[in-house]
Amino acid sequence: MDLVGIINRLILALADAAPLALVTLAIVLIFRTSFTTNFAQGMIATSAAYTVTVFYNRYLVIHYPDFNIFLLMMFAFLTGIVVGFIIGVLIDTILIRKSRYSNILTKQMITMGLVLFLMGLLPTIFFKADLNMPSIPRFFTDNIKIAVGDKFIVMQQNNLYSIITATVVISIVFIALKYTKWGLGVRSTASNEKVASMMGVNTKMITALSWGIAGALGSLGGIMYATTQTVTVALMTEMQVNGFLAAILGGFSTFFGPVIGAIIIPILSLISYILSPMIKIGDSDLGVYYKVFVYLIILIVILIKPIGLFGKKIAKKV
Amino acid sequence: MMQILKKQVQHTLHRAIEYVKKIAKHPFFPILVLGVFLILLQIIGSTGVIRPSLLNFISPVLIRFMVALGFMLLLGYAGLASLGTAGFMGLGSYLLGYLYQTVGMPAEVAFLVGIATALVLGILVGFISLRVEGMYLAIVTLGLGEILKNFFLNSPLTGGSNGMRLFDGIKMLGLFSKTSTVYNPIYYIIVVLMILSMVWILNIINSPTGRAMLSIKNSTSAAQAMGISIMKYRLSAFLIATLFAVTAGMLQMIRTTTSYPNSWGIDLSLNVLAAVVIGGTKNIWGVLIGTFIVFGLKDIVLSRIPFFQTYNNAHLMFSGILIILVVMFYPGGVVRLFSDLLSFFKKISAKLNQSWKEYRYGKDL
Repeated sequence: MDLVGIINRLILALADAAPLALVTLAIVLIFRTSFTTNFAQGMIATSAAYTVTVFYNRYLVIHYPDFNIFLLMMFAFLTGIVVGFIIGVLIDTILIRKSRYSNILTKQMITMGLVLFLMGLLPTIFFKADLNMPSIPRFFTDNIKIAVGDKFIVMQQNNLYSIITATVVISIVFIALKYTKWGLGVRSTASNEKVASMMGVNTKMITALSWGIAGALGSLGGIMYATTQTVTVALMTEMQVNGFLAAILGGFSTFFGPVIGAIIIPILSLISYILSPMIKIGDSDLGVYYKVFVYLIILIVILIKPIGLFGKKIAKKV
Repeated sequence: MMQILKKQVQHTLHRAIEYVKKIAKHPFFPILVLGVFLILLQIIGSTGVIRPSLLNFISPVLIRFMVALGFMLLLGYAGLASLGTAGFMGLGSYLLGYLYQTVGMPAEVAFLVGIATALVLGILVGFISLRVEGMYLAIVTLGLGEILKNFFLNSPLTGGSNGMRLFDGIKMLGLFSKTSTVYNPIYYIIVVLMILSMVWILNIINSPTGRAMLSIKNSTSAAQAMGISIMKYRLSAFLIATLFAVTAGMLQMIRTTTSYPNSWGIDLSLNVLAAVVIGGTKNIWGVLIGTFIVFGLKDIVLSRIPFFQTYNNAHLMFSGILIILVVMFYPGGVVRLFSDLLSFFKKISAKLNQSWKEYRYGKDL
C-alpha cells in the first residue's frame, strides 16, 4: 500500500476513533463516580440510535416533508441525545443509587441485566424495525479530495464532521471536569465518595448527572456510528468492547488515558490490517484475523503494564 | 427356630433400612436420583411414550446447566464474572467439528484435545486478566468472546456465516449421532458428564478450596492476610468454568452436529449469568432451577404465549428484569424461596398454635 492509501486509511481510522473516544469517556466517567464498569453503555447508545432512526424516518420526514432537512436531522439527533441522558439518569436513580455500597460485582451484574433487558426491549418497542430498519441518512454525502501527485486523499465530509464534533465535545467535557462545580464534584467523588459527601458535595446529584452525561456522550457516539451502519441491536457491541479495552489500555485511573487508548486502538487495528496479510502460512494469509492480533497486542500490554499505559497506582487502605 | 429366624430377618431388615437412610442423607444421593431419573426418562421415552420434541428440549438445557455449574463456582464462590462463556462454548464446538471432520481424528481424541485447549486458554486469559483486579476478567473475556465470534464468522476453517455441519454424523463411544436422529443417544453421555460435574463441583464447594474461594469473595485483603493465594484460587475457578464451557460446547456439537456463529453471541453468555443469578449463586440445585427458568421456560411456556411468539426477542427482557430484581432484592435466588417459605409456614403454624392454646386454656398458661 502506498503512502496516500495509508493516509486515507488513517483518516478512516480516526473517524472510527471519534465515537469510540466518546463511548470510552462515558465508561470512565461512570467508573470514576459509581465504581462500576457499565456494560450497558453500548445498549444506551443503541437505544438512542434506534430512537433517532425511528423518530426521523417514521415521523419527522413524513409529517414535515417541506421543512429544512438539516434542521430536522439536528432535532432528531438532539432528541436521541436527550433520550440517552434520561436513560442514564433513570438507571442511576432507580438501580445504581440503591446498591451504592454493594461490591463492584453486584453493580456489574445489574448493568449486565440491563443489557439483556434493553436487548429484548428495543426490538419489542420498535416492532420488527430490525428487519427493515432504515439507517440514519448522512447529510454530507460528498467527499473532499486533495490531489497529491496523481492520487487523491479522499476525506468523507461525514467523517470529518464527526471527528470535529467528537474533539469539541471531549474538550468541553475535560474543561468542565477541570473548572466547573460538577467537575470538582466528580473528581472528589472519584477520590473518596464518603469523604466527599461529608465535605458537602452532593454525591447523589453528581453521580446522577454523571450517568446522564455519560448516557448523552455514549448516545452521541452511537448516533455518529449509526450513520455508517445499519441499526440493529448489536450495533454498539463492538464499540462497547473496544471502549472497555481502550479504558484498560489507557488505565482506568485517569480521564485522559482512556481517550488516548481509544485513539490508539483504531490505529493499531489499521496497522494490523496492513501488516497481517503479509504473514503467510501455506498458501493462505492471516489477513482475516487482523482484529485478533489487535486483541492479542492489548493483552500483551496488559500483561506488561497491568494498570494501563497512563494509569497511576492507587494505594488502598484496608 | 422360627422365632430366631424371624428375629434375624427383622434385624437384617432394620439394618438395611438404616443403611438406606444413611445413603439417602449423603449429599450425592439426590444427584444419583436425578441421573437415574433422566436416564430412565430417555429409555422409556425412546420407546415412543414421550414425544421427541419434549425429550429433545432436555439435553440443550442439561448442556447449559453444565456451563452454569462452572459459572456458579466462578460467580458465587470466587466472586468473578466472565462474559466469554458463549465464546468458549463456540470454540469447543468448532474445535471438535474441525478435528473430527477436517483433520479426521476419532471423536474421543478430539474431545481430549478440546479439554487440553480449554486448560491452556483458561490459564492464559485468566492469568493476564486477574493480575490487577477481579473486574478486569469480565472485560477481557467480553473482548475474547467478541473476538472469537468474529473469528467464527470470518475464518475459512469454520465455514463462516454458513456454520459448520458434520455431514456424516459423528460416532463417540459407540453411540452414533446425526442431525436427523430422533432420540439422540448422545443424551446418555451428556447425563453422565453432567452428573460427574455436579459431583465434582459439590466436592470443591465443600472442600478447603471452596472455603478459600468464599473468603476471597468476602474480603480480598483479609483472605490475603490469612495466607490464601488469591491468584491461585481465582485462576482455578476460572479454569474450571472455562473447562466446563468448552466441554459443553463440544457436547453441543456432538449432539446437534451443527454450529452457527450467531448462536455464540453475548446474549448466551448473559443468559448463563442470568440462570446462575436467578437460581441462586451458591447452590447447585438453585442453578438447575435457574437454568430451567431461563432456558427451559423459553421453549416450553413462553413459546406458547402469543406475545412472545410475535416478539421473539422479548424473553431476553424477562431474564434481564429477573437478574436485576434478584440481585437487588433477593440475593439468595429462587432456591432461597423454599427455605424462606418453609420458615414462614413454621412461624405461622407456631403462632396459630400459640393462639389456639391461649384460646383453649386462657392467657395465663
